[in-house]
Amino acid sequence: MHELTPGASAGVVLPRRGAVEPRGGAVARLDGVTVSLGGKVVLHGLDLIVRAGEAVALVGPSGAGKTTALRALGAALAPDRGRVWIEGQDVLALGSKERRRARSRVGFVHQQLALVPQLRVHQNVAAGRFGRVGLLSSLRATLFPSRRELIEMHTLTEQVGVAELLFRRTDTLSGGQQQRVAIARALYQEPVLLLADEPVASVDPERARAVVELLLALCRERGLALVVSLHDLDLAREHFDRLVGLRGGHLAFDAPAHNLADDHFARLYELERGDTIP
Amino acid sequence: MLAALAAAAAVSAFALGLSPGQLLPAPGGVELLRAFAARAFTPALAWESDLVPPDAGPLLVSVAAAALRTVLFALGGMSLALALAVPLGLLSSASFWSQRQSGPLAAVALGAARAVIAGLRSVHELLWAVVFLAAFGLTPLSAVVALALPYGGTLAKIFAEMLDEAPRDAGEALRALGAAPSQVLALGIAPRALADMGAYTFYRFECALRSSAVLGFFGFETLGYGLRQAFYNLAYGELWTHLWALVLLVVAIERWSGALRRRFVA
Repeated sequence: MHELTPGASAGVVLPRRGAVEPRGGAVARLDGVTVSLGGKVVLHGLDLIVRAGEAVALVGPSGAGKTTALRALGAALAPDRGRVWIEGQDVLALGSKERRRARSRVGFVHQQLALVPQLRVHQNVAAGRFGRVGLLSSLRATLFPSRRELIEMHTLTEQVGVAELLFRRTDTLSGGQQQRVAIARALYQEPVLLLADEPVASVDPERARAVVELLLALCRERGLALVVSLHDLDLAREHFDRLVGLRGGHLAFDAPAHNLADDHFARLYELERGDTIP
Repeated sequence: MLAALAAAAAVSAFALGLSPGQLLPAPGGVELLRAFAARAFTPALAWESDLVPPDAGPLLVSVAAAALRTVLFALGGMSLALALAVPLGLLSSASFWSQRQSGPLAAVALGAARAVIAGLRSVHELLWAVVFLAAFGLTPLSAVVALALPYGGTLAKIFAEMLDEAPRDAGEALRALGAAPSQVLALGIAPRALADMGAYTFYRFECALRSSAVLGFFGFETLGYGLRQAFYNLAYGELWTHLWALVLLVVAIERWSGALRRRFVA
């Protein structure tokens, strides 16, 4: 059951038209998605709609299911129950080829970045298009990038601030630089939705702000929807129009930032009975 | 653990009838050892034995030619071994099959590939050489195939292990962005194991050089062939010339592979 707080229910964001029709402006949607990992249920029938161009922050304590919710949105895992829609397509009902194509429309910046450290920066960025091409084309793009591709990747890496590193081996870059490469790879996909899992988990507050602002600016420019999981509540409230609170795998609230009071967050983060203070 | 090892050593020593007294050389053995060791730093630069046919070219030319043939046999064997090892290594790696449907067919194919690898590895190259000598005669192909089979098996086994132990995060990320299983493996997982695979291949190439030299004992004209002749002729100076040539080859390959590794890994 969803724990909807009174304040949140007034502000719950539901699509005005076509509530059951995922096409109405929705780029991705979860319908009653239940996921268990290692025998433990980590998401309980989550419903979530992400519409074109909006910026959503996913908040909640550790273990609330934020990463799993993001992975579900990107169709990167198979739920036990429920449906995942990307651009109006029921992804789990698709054949493998169509599912690959649907996944390629969702960019994902992983918390651990998940780049290949032994490859050059442009080779990691080029991987963004692998969902659209076959093995031979992807090998060609990795080993012998065309001039056009390089120019495109240069422009992209310029926007995230690592253009001068395009030909460097990825493991020679700092963590912050590698994160920008991961963002560039996700944007090179030309997605409709960008997901970022705890992009500020390991940076100082000043850089955290810069990273969040960069993501927001890049998505706004391109009209992309953005869903970011964040630990930092202030950052979330300050920068995002809509906040989705998760707690113990349940939806706690889903509302515009200005409709949420401190009370909601206090309840979101309050320790459950039996929890110990670390 | 140590006690178990000690027990195993005691059992095998008893079974084989080993005794410390056997460490002493046989009568005349001391003489031979001394004569052999005496030439270690004064290898022959020209034929010393009277038993060498008069039409044989100069010793150093003959050794150089044998060294070159040793390298060529090793190269031929390793090339064929690699051609075997890449597909076999893929088929026997869990990562290859886990990217695909894991049905009974996958389990059968995985098991079959591993059985083939075990078969190839369990027979030593010298035993393969005996078989192929009987089958094909003393042709270079016999030597190359004899080297390629066990080396291919060993490389395949290690390649599969390296692939399976490579970090998975980048592969998972590629899968999430829509990459097909072949792309995940080739461009997400394999690049992380490639440097280790290359280093191991070079190490096996060094081993192949030594094996190729030893194949000379069967009559293939590698360094081992001249080495055996020198030994039979009691020409220890010539024997050391061949041994030093082998040492130089192995050191040269090691330095070359080291340089390549620095260039590609750094």
